[in-house]
Amino acid sequence: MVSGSAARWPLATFPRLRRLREALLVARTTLCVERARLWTEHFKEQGFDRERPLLRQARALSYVLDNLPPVVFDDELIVGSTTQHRLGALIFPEFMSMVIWPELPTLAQRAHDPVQLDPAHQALLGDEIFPFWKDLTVHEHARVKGDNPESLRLLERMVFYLLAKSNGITHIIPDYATVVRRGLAALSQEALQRSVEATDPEAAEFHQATHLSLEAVIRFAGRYAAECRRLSKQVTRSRALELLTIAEALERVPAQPAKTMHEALQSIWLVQVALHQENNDLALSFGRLDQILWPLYQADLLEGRLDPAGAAELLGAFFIKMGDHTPLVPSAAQKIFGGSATNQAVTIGGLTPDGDDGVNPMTMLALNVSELLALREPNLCARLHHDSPASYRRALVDSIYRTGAAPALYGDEAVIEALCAHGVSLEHARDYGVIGCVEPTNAGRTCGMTGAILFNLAAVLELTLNDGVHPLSGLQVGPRTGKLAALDSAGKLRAAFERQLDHLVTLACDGNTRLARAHAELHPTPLLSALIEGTAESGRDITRGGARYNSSGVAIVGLADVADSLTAIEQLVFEGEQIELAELGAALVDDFCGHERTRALLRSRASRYGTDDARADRTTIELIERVAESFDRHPTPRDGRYQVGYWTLTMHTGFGALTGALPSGRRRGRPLASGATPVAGAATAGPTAALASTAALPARLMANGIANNHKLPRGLLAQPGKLELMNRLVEVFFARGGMQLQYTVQDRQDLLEAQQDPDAHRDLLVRVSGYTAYFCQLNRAIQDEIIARTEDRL
Amino acid sequence: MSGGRWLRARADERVDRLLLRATVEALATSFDLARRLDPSFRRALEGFEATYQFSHGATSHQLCISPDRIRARPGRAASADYEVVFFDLRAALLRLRRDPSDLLGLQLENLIEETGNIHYLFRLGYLFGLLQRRGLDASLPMRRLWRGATALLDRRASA
Repeated sequence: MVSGSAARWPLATFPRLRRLREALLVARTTLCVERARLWTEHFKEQGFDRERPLLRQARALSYVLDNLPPVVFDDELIVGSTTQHRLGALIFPEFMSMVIWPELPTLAQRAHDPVQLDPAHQALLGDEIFPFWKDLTVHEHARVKGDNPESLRLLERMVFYLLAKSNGITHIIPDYATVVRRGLAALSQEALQRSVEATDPEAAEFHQATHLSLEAVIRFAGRYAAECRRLSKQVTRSRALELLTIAEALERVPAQPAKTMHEALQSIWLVQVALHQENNDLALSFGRLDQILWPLYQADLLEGRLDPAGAAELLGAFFIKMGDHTPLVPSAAQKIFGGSATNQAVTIGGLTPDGDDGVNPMTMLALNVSELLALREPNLCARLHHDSPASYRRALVDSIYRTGAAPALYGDEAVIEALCAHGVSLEHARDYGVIGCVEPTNAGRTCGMTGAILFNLAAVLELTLNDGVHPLSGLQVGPRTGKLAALDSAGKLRAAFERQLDHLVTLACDGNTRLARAHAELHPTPLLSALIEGTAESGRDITRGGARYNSSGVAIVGLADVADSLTAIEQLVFEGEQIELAELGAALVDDFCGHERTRALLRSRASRYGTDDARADRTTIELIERVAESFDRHPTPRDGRYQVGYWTLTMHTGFGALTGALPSGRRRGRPLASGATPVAGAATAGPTAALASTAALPARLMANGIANNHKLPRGLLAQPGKLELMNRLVEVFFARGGMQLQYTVQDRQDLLEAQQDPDAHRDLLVRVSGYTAYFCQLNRAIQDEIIARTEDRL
Repeated sequence: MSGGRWLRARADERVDRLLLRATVEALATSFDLARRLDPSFRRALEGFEATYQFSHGATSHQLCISPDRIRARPGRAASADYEVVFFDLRAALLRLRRDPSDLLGLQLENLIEETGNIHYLFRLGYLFGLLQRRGLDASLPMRRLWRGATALLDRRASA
């Protein structure tokens, strides 16, 4: 396979891309009501047929796609708009969009992340759309059906865990390889045939629903083609030719197999837009785009239809389209999700299903285009394996330096081991793509809902130290496992911790199952199901376990803080007897005020994760093993296994704000450590030791991925030889079995200046915990957390 | 508990009871005023009948909303659509004063506990948002509430 670096172009080479990029960056987010209006209008007119949910949903989607006005912007080479605006936010009233309801009248005026909203649309949403869905949301359906179960009551406290299925089926990779290679018409015809032949009524309904949905997408493409033809009569001759070319493409794809790279990109994007109308537009990812596109790009090159610069422009236009929508985040939730894009991940490089190196010219093109655009979407994820070409690895490092944040790096050996340990075949495990932030999943064959549970491990520790009482609210949440004074040995402490852990895990899994069942009943998803392998054969929607592989994803928050806390108690209280248990308890209650010596001891004398210390690493590994064991006791709603990962979005600041002082010496309200990264300031032994600790974590128990955040000063890397040192660090980390590594390359001073003058730094990229974000769109707390992260020294 | 602390605790309870009643009554009065003055507020109430119950300790008050009348009632409702229990009434009020529509913030900071279909919570927030947009959150009853609450809280803090 071809490898090595391709041409690097400055953005100025592509005036069109520069204009499109600028238009996106200056666009103000506008709340788009069209999808919600049509969706609700359909159900108001047709009723909510509870007998045939699959057909009901397929007809609703068809209604939306048949009536959504096509929107084509100037300069676009790839068309299809998620919303009616250059940068829009969708509303899903059947899920959790109603959290924005209180803010509708003031959304445009809010201080952080204002969103434009037409007054008429505000009234439509507030007075007609949201009221209609009162009893029909996933959350309410599960709550009523379970008679307000404890698991959902606890969810509403938002301190212990968050369950994402209230918000739709997201975090998945559709089978875009099949969309490109076979086209939707073939899938639709097969579905029709199966619906006729099926003897099981549910299967017959499922196939009929997928057929209806796929046909609706084909008509949707036809309407876009017609719009391009209409617009071609109103523009310059050169633009008219472009629009006619796009129209011709849309008259073929996505119905038929793509014959060119342009058709493939257009096909994928139009299907993505259609999928965004069916399910929440979060982390719907593209999989291994370089593997899908390379045969078409190669054919284009051979036939002389395209040269590398032309291909770069097309791919750039496609990447820019990915940024056309953004999540609608309520003010209070800015702590949790602030600044996040919708995290559409694109995966490049890595092993092929046969075990060969998969790097090809499209890999390098994607890397180069991502670099020249330097946008937060797509979340570019680059795979590395032990035999990856050295030039490719170096190109990745150079790209991280230039963009300041992308791509994130993944170690094939660790990821493949993790997926195989969870029942994925070796061939399919090698074919993984990354979803959303950092979650590796077999592309196109898995319903994994990788963000199903966000779990606060620090809350487990707080319950342990307080006899099951949550200190912030005073609620008795966990079992009574003894007051702190009674936990007078490491054995007792661990036993109490494990009981509290099992209790919270049981509740989180119970809530997840209830929401999954509610989702299957209220909002099955026939279009997305049609694009996941296994559903056609099983005749079941993905919400009912129809996919080839089924799992639910867990993201653990607070790993390093809890591991350091347990190590500190064991070493300083039980072994060294340097701190009395009573003194520790008092220090935690007082947030270490008046207990400065105790805090200093905890922070300086105890072993800490991230220093390549055997004791601390062992505690961390044992913690990961215990968490995995606890989740493994519960089957997922679709008879799969829970896959646990260690990534945190911005929840390490969100949960951190709600967490009291911890025995690690962390003070009340401070951010928890992000992802699987050591606590900020703890990795005092340097980046090699920090990476060694993370590489030692058991990959097989982290199948939902990890976010391993590191920060390097740009000024340092500019010095001779430093980039090569970074390259060596990367090489050694993955050679030692590391799973994931991502860098923010910015100088502290630049970040501080960006806080002062956001307008001048609006495209400054950083890694949060998994995703790439514009620094200035993050809330102040997460900005400060990124500034405070340990800076690696080379 | 010493006599002084006991007396102070009783006084605090009385203040909280007063605050809760004043809050619900001010809400009802302001909403009713908005209903009369603001067509968009009336549209938002179309077809909406709901009883909210607000509790703190042993004290409860109801906010009864219908398209043609909004009123406060003391005591527990026989059947409330939505119940809000304040863990820390004063902190919640101070937060609401900063941003009355930020109900999610109250949940995140564990200042309240709620029971019922969260639809009702967010719909209530929407009504408050409409007040805010029209500047009616600065209407006489609300101004009185905030002024009174602030004075009370300041007095307690300085004591």
